[in-house]
Amino acid sequence: MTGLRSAAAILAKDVRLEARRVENLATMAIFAVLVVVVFVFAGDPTPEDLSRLGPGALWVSLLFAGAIGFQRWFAQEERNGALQGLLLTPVDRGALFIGKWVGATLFLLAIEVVLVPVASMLYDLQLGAVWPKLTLVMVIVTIGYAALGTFFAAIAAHTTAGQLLLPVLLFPLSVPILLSGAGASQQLMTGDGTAYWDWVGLAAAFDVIFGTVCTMTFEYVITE
Amino acid sequence: MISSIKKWWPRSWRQFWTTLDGRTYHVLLHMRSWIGWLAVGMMVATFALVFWWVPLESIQGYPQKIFYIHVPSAWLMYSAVGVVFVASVMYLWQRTQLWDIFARCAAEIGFLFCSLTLVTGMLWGSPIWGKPWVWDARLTSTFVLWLIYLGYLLFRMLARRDIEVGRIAAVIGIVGAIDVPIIHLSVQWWRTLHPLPVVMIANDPGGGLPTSMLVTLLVALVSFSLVFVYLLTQRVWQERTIENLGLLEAILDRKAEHAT
Amino acid sequence: MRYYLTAYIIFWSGLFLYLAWLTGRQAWLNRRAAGLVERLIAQGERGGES
Repeated sequence: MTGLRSAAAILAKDVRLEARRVENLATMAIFAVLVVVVFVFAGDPTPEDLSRLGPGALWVSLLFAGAIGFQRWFAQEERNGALQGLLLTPVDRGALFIGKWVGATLFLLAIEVVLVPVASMLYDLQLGAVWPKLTLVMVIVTIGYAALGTFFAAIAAHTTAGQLLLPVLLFPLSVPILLSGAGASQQLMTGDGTAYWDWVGLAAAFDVIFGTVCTMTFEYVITE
Repeated sequence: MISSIKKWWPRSWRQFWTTLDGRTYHVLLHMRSWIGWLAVGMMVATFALVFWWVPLESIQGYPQKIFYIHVPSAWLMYSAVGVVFVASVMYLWQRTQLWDIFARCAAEIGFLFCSLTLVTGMLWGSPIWGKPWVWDARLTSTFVLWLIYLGYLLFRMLARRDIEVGRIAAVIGIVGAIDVPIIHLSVQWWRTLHPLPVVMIANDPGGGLPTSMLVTLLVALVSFSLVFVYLLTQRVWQERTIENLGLLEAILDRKAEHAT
Repeated sequence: MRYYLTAYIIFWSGLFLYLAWLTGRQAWLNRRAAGLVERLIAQGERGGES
């Protein structure tokens, strides 16, 4: 499995880079928290509204943090011709994508580790019993979202307005995955939880579909 | 009959896939003014039927007549998704310019008709639902499709000039087309698991249609399909001509440079 | 009646705007082709002189 080994090497490189500049990830986590906070100001909710709004605010802030993050994590390859160097190595493009994808997933999860406890405190979410289930759905959604995000960050890097174009391309296409994540968390927070596993299954199916399609077509996205 | 089929049948399938077969393509292009006039005639017939012939629906009255442009527009929009998908796959496979042009033009026409579907749908919804927009499953998925088309066309506009735009646009076209049924499914789930906030009247206008309405709808579908074929071939022809003209001009420029 | 007519007017104006754009593009294309033909003719004449 040389493909997997090269994917692991790319992942290790990205993780090391992020670890050397923890302040970047920290700033993004603060940004994500701020989105959640601004949500409260914009809605001026009563205490009952808070727990109803909570999951939604969480997903929105995750979406925004991702849109910023994917761009950054891909743009660092463009600097100093690093991408050209990567493409010159005899690495399968699919493996390259998987490496970047797993990296983006890990970084987004790191942001969520900060975001979720703070948001649950601010929004008075009762996470006591449901946190393993919430973690599961967050991980699954993050995997799918990171796949699409990495893919479209590579596409948007080919335009003159990459920062602007990425959300326009990414958000509509991640609607299914966001919907299933929001559906599952809604079931946990306010619903009776019966449809939770249906939503999680749907999200996992989307992960498989998007992951496969993106890995297979990534070679066309990246310039030779 | 058989001889005309034989005349049009591609000589080799390989040539057919790479260039859509010179002759097949030319037959289509030469037929396009006929298709255009046929489309005009059919459109006139459709609107004559809608305005004068088809009876008013007893409950909804006049707003129901929007149905005869709303549904064919939606049908055309989904056909355009199909054309974009097939043309994108063919472009990635064969890498001939023609498929790229097909994808680009179909996306443009699809975007136009997606917008028309949304607008006519809102105008139909206003009197029937009491408001132009409800977050119904079909509305939501159509809106998301509109956003995908928008992103596709924006990418084409904003792409840097030093890359092969068609290849990446083809990937977006493929991923977008794969996403369309997925979005439809997920949105439908989302809307059936949640209680509907609005009572829908006549949510399913296709069921149990009287014959006169069905006939009008079918005529409208045929004429809209003809309009689509005409617009697509016309646009493709234009884009081809622009590219050929550019090539010729470049040759002339080079000759002029040599002369001086 | 109001919504019905508005929908049809918007539909037709959308379609006709697209057709108008297409026709305008065609006119531009024709001009460009005519310019090309003129250049070709001029080149032929020059070629004949030399």
